[in-house]
Amino acid sequence: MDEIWPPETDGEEATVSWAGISRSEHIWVDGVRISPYDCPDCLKWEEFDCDQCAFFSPETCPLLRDLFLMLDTRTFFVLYRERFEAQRKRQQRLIRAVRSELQAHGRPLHYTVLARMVADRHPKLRVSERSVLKIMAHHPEVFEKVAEGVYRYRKASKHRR
Amino acid sequence: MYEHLNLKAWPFQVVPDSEFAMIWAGRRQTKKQLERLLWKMQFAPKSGLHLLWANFGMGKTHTLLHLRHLCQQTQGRLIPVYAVMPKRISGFLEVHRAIVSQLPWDFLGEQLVKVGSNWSSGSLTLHPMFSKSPGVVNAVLAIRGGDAEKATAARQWLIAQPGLTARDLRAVGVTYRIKTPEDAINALTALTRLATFKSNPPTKLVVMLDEYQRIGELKSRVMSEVNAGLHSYYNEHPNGLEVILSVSFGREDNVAYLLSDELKSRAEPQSISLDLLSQVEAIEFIRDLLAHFRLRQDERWAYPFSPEAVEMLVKHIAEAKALTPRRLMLYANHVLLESQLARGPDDTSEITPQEVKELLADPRLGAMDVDSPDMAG
Repeated sequence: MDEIWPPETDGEEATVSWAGISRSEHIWVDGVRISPYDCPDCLKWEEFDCDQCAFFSPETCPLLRDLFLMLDTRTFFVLYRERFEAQRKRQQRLIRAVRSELQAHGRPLHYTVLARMVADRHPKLRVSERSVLKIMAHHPEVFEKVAEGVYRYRKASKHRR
Repeated sequence: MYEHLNLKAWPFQVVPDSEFAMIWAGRRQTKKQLERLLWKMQFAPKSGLHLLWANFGMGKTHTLLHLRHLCQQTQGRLIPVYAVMPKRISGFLEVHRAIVSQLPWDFLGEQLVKVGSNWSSGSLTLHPMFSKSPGVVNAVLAIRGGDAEKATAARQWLIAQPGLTARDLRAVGVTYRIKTPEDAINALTALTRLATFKSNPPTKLVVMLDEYQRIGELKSRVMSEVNAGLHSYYNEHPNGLEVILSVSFGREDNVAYLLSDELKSRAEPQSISLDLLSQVEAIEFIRDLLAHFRLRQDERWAYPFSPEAVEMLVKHIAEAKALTPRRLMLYANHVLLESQLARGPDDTSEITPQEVKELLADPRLGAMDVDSPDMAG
C-alpha cells in the first residue's frame, strides 16, 4: 500500500486554500487517489454498497481487506472535514467582519488600519494584519484593491454574489 | 439676479467655494459649535487641536471654508490657513508642502519686518525664532523682494519642492535644503512663530487640514511619520496655534484609528460632527438657504417653492437616500431649473408638490448619486 500526503500544490484542481487546508489534499491508496471530499462511501458513511464504489472493486478493495485502514482513514477524513468546515466558517466570518468595517467606513483603508479595527471590534476572530490582507487579496469580488495594501468595499452593483 | 424668483443669486451650489462658504444654512447645532470654537480660539492663548468629523456629503469642506471666512472676520486675531491633505503621500514633507504653500506670504513678509525692527543683535537669521531654520529668513525676504525668479525659488525652497539647483539656493540666500521631516517641522515652526510674533491683539495661526482621513490609506510607517510630524509641530507651539483636522467617513469612532495616541491625547474633548440631516433639519436647511438669497423680505419662506413642495422634495429624497445638504441642493436645483424651463419667467406661482412629484418621478433620476466618498466634501 502506498499512502502519501502530497504537498498542497501537487493537486491539479484549482482550489481555494482555507488557512492551510486545501480541498485538494488527498492520499493514495493502492495507486488510487482519494481525498476527504472524493472518496469511497465507506470512508464517509456507516452504510455503503461496495458494488456502487467507483474507486475499488470489492474483490481487490484494500479498505475491505484492512478494516483498520478503513476506520483510521474514515476517522481522519471526518476530522479533516470538520477542521476544514471550521476554518471555512472562520474565514467567512472574517470576510463579513472586514467587509462590514470597510462598508461602514465608506473609504479605502490600508490593511494595517483595517486589521486594528477588526481586531478591536471582533476580538473572537483573533485576526492578524496578514490574515486581513490575505482575505482581501483572495476575494476581489468583495474587496477592490485601489493601491498597494489599500482596499475598499466593492459596491453591490459590481459585486458578484 | 433672479428678480421674478426674489433671489439675488442662484441658491443651489454643490461644489464648495469660498464665496458660497460665507453662507451658513440650517444645521444650527454645528453653527453653534463653530461659534464656540471661534470664541475659544480667540479667548485663550493656548494652542488647540480640534477634530471635525463629517458623514459623506455633509459639507465638511464647506464648513471649513465657512470657518475660514469667520476667522477672516476677526481683525487679524485668527489667521486661517486652509490646506488639503495630499493623496497617498510618502511622508510628512508632503503635509508640510500642503500647509506652507497656503501661508499668507505678504503677511509673513510684514511680520518679518516687524521682527527686524525689534532686533538689534545683528543678522535676523540669528534671532532665536529662526535658530533651527535660519533659511526661512532669506526665503521670506526673497518672496517679499519682488523679484519673480527669486520669489519662485524661495517658495520652492520653503515648500521643500525637489529640483532646486545650487544656483537657485544661492539666489535665495540659503545654504541647505528642507529634506527631512525634522527640517520641515523646524521650518513650519519658524513660520508659525513669525506669523504669531508679538501681535496686539494676540494672533493665532489656524491650520485647517482637510481630508485628513487619507492618512488611513498609508502604510503604518508613513502614517506614524505624519502623525508624529503633526504632533511635534503642535508641541512646538504651546500658544498661538490651532490645528483643525477634518475627516470624512461613515463611522465617527473610526477617528481613533487614524490618529496617534499623542495626537488623541492632545485633541480637544469636544469635536465638531456633521451627521446626516433629519427631515426637519433638511427643511430648515432649505429655508435658511433661500432666506440668504432673498432680494427683499418675503412672507413665503419657501418661494419659489411652496412649503408643501419643499416637504415633498425632502420626503422624496429621504425615502430613497440619506439626507445631505449636497443632495438637497442637487434635487432642489433640478426641480427649480426644470420648472423654470417649463413655465418661463412670467409664471411666478409657487412650485407645487404635484410638480415636484412629477419632476422627480423618473426612477433613473439620481441613479448615479449614491452615498459614497466620491461625493464627500
